[in-house]
Amino acid sequence: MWKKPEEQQMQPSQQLSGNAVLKPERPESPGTALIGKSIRVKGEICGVEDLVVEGEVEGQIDLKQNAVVVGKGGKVCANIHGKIIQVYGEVIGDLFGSEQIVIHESGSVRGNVSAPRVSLKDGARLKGAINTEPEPNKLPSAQKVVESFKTSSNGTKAQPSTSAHL
Amino acid sequence: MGIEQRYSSRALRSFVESASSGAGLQVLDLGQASGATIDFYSRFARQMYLEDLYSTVVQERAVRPIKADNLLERLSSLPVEAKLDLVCCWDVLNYLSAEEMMEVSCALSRFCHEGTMILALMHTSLEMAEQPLTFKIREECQVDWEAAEVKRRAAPCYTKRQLERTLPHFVRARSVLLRNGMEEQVYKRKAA
Repeated sequence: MWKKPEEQQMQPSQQLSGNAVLKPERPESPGTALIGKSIRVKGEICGVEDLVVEGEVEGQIDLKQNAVVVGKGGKVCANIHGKIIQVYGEVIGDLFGSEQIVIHESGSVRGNVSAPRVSLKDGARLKGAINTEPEPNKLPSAQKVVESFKTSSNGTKAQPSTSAHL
Repeated sequence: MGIEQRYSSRALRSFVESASSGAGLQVLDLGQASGATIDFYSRFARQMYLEDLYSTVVQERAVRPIKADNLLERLSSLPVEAKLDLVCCWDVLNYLSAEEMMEVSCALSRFCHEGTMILALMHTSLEMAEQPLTFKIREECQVDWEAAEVKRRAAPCYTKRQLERTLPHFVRARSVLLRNGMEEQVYKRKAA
């Protein structure tokens, strides 16, 4: 009659803001890491777990074999490498998905997007290039763009290929 | 925000027909990105560059007058080696002054080769939406557009002669008057 408390509670990996639901595809997947709303990370994130970002990340996310979800409250200023990347929040940086990238209605991306399948929902915002035949060196890196922006804002004239205000 | 209007784009249809023999083209969209439009481009484009030109221009205006070189700095998605085959301006040009349009034209011409197609929708009625419309290319080159708000403002109603002056690197290839106060205009990049 009564359910055990642990059965009633959703696992953190299953409950996300923005109706994002992450279902690990592989049973051997060790789980899902969650960067909570109040967490701020600076640096490189790598590993073999799926990742949900509800907080802030600045640096690099390198989870080529896993799913990465930027939740509705998530703010990422980093290049993201993942298998499937879903964006409900805000990303400034390049996205590299080996399978698919989905930018949802509430999502905003300023950077280049590279994946065999790219889906942009109505209302989503994307400013950048889309490449459905990923060739990593083909697109100008958002990191370079950010760096050149810093240079140009210091008063030095930047080249058109890499300079921009993101 | 609902669908306001729909039209069948002859320009896009003819572009798709000519492009069908070989995919791998490069496309620049200067409007607001939409999923349906990206799906359409992905049928023939190897590279798609998405730039919300209006918001870029608004940001730039707040800092300094619009100049081609400054604009190039803001077009962050375009690598210097990009050679565009199609540029969809939609109705953004209506929201620029003649001087600004000339600077935009000058900036874009650097990324175009001879024959690059520029698609623009020019308002022919006295009023237009407060901000550029959102366009979505559907099946069979049907184009839907939506206004983000109901507020209206005066339309510049650029004449053909004014446009020829402000787009000096391009030549008009065709224009089709639509029933709803707009004209679909196609320009092609002149030989350098």
